Amino acid sequence: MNTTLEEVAAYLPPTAVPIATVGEAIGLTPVDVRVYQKFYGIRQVLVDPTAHVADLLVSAAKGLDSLAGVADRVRFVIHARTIQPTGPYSANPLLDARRTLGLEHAVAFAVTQHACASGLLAVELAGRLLASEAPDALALVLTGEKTYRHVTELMPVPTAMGEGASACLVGSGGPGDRLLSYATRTHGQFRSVSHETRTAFQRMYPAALAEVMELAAERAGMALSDVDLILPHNVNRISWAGLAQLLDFPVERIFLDNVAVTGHCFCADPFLNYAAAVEQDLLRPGDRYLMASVGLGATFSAMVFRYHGEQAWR
Amino acid sequence: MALTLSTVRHSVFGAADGTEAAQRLLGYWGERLAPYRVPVAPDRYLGGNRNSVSSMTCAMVDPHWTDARLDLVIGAHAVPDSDPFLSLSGCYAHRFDADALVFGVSDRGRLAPFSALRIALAHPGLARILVIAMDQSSVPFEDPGLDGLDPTADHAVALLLSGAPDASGARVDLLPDVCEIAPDAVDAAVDAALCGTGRDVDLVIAGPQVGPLGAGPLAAGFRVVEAPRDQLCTAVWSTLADELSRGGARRIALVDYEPALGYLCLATVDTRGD
Repeated sequence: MNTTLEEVAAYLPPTAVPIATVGEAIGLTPVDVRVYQKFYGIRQVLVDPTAHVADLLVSAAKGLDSLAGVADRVRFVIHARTIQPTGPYSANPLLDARRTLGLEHAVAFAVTQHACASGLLAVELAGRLLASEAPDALALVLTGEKTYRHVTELMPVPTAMGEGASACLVGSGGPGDRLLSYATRTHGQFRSVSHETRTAFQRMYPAALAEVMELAAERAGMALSDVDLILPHNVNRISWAGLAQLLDFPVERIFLDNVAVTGHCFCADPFLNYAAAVEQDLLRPGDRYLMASVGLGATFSAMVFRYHGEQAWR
Repeated sequence: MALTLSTVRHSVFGAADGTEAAQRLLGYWGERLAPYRVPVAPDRYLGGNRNSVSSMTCAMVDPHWTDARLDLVIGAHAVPDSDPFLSLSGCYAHRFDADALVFGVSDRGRLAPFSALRIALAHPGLARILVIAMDQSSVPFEDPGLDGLDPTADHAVALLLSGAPDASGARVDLLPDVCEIAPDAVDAAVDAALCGTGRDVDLVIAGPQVGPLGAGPLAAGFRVVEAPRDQLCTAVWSTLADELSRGGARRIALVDYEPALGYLCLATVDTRGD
């Protein structure tokens, strides 16, 4: 396999909701809200109140500079989803997005059951599927979901959900960022998403995430300390500070800017962080970066890429 | 590249045990349905079988677990999961093994198992792959797309496959998907696709939305069986299970069409008769 990330686009919704407002909706006390702000580093979340799921996906995909020129090469459109059902059976946001984007010729399906780690799984599967297609074939991996009170309430770690979305063009053997490794592990004792397992989950979370990140680095033929930048999921700042300490990894090399701004955007976080890191010129050609995500259920995943540098589509 | 199919097992599920999560899920569904202005229909959900993707998958894995570990397990389904807060990968890891890659494929209507098979094919060399197609009807909303489902019976079909070059069993080939196809063009497209395989087909298992076959030049040479109308993505695969139980060396084509997508999927299964 020679999977490449050819282009990544982020959609950051226009409406900022302060964490105090989010907290009110999910039953946080004023003290809790202050803890969320100061301790967990969550200031607000971004949402698009009038958008449906399909709108989020389309907005992200329209951010891809190259999509219009390569649309005929897109063979697969994959929606990586934290929670599988989006609404009634006959309403299919993925198909609506595919139609709006003029990609009716592409096979579209959703990848689920790794929850928020499904985005990394979708990139891995896209690369595999493309291996038997024409050399210039592409897959469009989409992330983005609507926030609901029930979902935020069930999060086993302190966080606030946002509606940021991402679109990635994945290739096979293309000039983009080369996928070096993928590692995933599911801890079945947390298979049922509930409050009852929250404490136990929080206890095992750092070690389980550290394990899968180190495994991804090892599979990429390197030590974790050789990773130039970690693009995490945006659950909260304190958990990453703790993980940095556990791993003896400089917290400055973990991209945490979005935690305060976007909220935890389901499967989109690592891709939103990639777009922001590129925008801020934090990656150099040849740099190796690691994307990490954790999904309810509980699946821990990490991926290592080599940054191509000058983006292929520019 | 092809997959080797060693067994196909079809199971029918009645009511699931346990209802404790039901009320919580109604609230969850209420939030999800509101943007579409679809009301919650609690009775349809609470009175249904409520077999989840996770519970049906584990039940289908059980008979295969005595042999050896599975490398890849893909749950393919059309209807939304009846319990989206129970993780398929988590249940599998808890009950069987944490090292297999386990996930779900959906949002492709009745064609979801074809996508799952294509993903399985993209894992060459894996010796034990289980693709499980599932249909359940316990959803808390009315939907015209689900009107034909039998609410008393949920279905799962498990296909035990191998991507290893030395595996024994029936050969499974996936033909290229045909996209953007209108219902009245399906017959000709099926004919063209099967003619292109270069070998006679003994039997065609056609999904209920495929429509009448037989106008094309190849049609006279094969027998057509229509898959059950009260199933979605398991229909053609449960019919395959029935057919393979009869034995014999045959080439069977599976054809399914999803009008909502305008997509036609085809696969062939070559049995050796042993």
